[in-house]
Amino acid sequence: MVKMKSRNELAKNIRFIAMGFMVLFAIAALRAYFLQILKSGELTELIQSQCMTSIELMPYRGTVYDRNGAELAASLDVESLYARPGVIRDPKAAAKLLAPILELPIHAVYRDLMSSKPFVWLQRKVTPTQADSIRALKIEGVGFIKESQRFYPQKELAAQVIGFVGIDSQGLEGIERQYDSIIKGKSRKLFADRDAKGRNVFVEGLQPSDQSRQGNDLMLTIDKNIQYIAEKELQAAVSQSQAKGGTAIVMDPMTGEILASAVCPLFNPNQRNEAGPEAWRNRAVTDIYEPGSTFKAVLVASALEEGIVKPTDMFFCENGSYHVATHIIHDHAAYGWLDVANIIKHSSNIGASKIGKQFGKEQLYQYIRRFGFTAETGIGLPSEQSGFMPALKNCSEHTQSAISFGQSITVTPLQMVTAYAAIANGGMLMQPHIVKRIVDSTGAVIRQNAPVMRRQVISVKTADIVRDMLKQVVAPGGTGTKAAVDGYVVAGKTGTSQKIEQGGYSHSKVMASFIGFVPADNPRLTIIVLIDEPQRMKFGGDIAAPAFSRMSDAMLNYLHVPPEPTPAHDPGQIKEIRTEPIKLAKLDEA
Amino acid sequence: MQDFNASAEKYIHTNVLARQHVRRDTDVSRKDMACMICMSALVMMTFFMFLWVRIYSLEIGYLISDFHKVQEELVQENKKLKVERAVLRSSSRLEMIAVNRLGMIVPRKSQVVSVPW
Repeated sequence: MVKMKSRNELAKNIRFIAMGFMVLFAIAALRAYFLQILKSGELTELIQSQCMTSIELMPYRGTVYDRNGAELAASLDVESLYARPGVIRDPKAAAKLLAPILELPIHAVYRDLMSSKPFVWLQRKVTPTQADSIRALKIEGVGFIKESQRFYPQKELAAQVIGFVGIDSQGLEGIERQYDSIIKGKSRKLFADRDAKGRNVFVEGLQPSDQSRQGNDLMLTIDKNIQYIAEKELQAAVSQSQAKGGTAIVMDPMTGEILASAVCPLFNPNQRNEAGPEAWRNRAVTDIYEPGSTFKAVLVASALEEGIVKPTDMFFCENGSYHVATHIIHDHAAYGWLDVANIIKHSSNIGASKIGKQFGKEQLYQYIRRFGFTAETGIGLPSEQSGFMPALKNCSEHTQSAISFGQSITVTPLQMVTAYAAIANGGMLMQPHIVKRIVDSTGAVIRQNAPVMRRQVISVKTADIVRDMLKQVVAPGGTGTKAAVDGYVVAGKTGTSQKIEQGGYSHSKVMASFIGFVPADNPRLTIIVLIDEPQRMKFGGDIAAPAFSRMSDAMLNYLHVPPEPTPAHDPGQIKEIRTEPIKLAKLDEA
Repeated sequence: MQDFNASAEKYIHTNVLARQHVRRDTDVSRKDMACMICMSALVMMTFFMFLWVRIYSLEIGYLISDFHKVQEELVQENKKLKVERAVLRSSSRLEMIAVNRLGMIVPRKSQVVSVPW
């Protein structure tokens, strides 16, 4: 009986102890839940602040390359100088030491060092020499923080296309601005333990590399050598004609890729403040102008496609003076009867006006839009303009006539070169693009911009006819003979349009242009050269056409496009060609 | 005699058997001791092992920290060199050297022979 009683007591005690353990375990579990789940974030932060340190890794802005992999824009780490004014013992002496190195007035540095703020920037992004000199001074309370600095190693090359970034590496102009979110990358924190001496210890190793820190790289369709040729020849033409500026675009007509986009005056994005916002603008897409006679090719292509005119149709050009409503249209010479090809060749405004009259207004507008005018091309560059054409209901007889020879309509240089590329490639309106591909930091292609045909604007047959007409412009007797390139057949059109000034057409300010493609029958390049307000040689045929010729010559040579088989360059007779001995001479003589 | 026998028996019973019992207890205690030493050694070894791993991990941590710095420096150096290469290869610079220093010119069309492939 006694034995039974003691067993029951033992069991009771065991149960009691077990209960006790269970209660304790439950408390421990609850506490663990509280600490690990509910308070996890807060406590993690607390422990990190006490014995861990976070290292801020600056984002690497992606690199911009040309189509062959040459760096056009790249980022490097540089040091920025800061001060903690409260820590500096002798601000006056420190200012005297720092000011000459920073090339700042002593009072300006002293003012910063006396600031009531705990942290002030003394100078952002100092040069390595400046940093070394300041470090050697060992001034307490002055230190450096690494920041990213954008460099443009090709300097002025394609500056308006690439654009530039601000002090905080944000894209402000050009590609840098348009693709800012893609190339800027993200900053990342790397956590490490901190030892008693404050050194970082990666006890758990480095965290897996976060690819988002490195921005994506851009590969453009621009070829730096073609760009250089375009800029050099454009600059020469602008200087020669004492013009206000100029624009040149080189496009591959088969793909719509922009091989070069030059704007004059140039500026160096590494020292962008030396040039004003006027120079930063990419006029190829932001500026509109009246295309003048270069628009006649678009008109004729549309008229032929619609069957309104035939190439053999003759038009009387009124001996140079023609009344349309209340206006008088003039030609630069008195022409009588001209066929369509000769209207293009001699650039007759009256002839073009009469062809335009054959169109219904709606029909004309429709073709102009089909060629891509009055709408943005969608090239992917900031501030692109769409151009302007009067509303259909406001289109008078005179307006329709003026549009026929490129007045009363405004376009961008890019729209014009795209339209000519369509004539060059057999009628396909290609989507112009300047970014070839986007690549992430591992080299994986994120986006590849393949050639896109927007629409077939005119038939291959019509394109062939217009091409032959445009060849005549460069042939003897045409307005664009100076655009001819030795060894190649060129097709193109000159244009000289008056600029609008105070509500009317200026008598002194013009836009001189030439647009063409070469080699005419197997086009590799479509080029527009536009000279803004030339003071000398004001006609497109005099200033823009020779620039086109020099550009084409050098670019075709660079691209290894063999001369066309003319009698002098027939590949079959190559053995009989005697080459002249190469003499060293100045570049001007070449 | 009987008393002697009885006392001898008692002696054997109390002392000899007791001694035997004591001897048996001593044997057990040595085994426990050996076991305890082994256990302690094992614990100590585990402790030292843990300590060694911890110190080794710390050393590796310092190494990683150093290598991380070196890596960052090398990445920067690599980028600097690429930018420098791009500057040196810029078209304007190459043309200037070719024309001014080496006296080269762009060949005329008549000086170029296209070789058919």
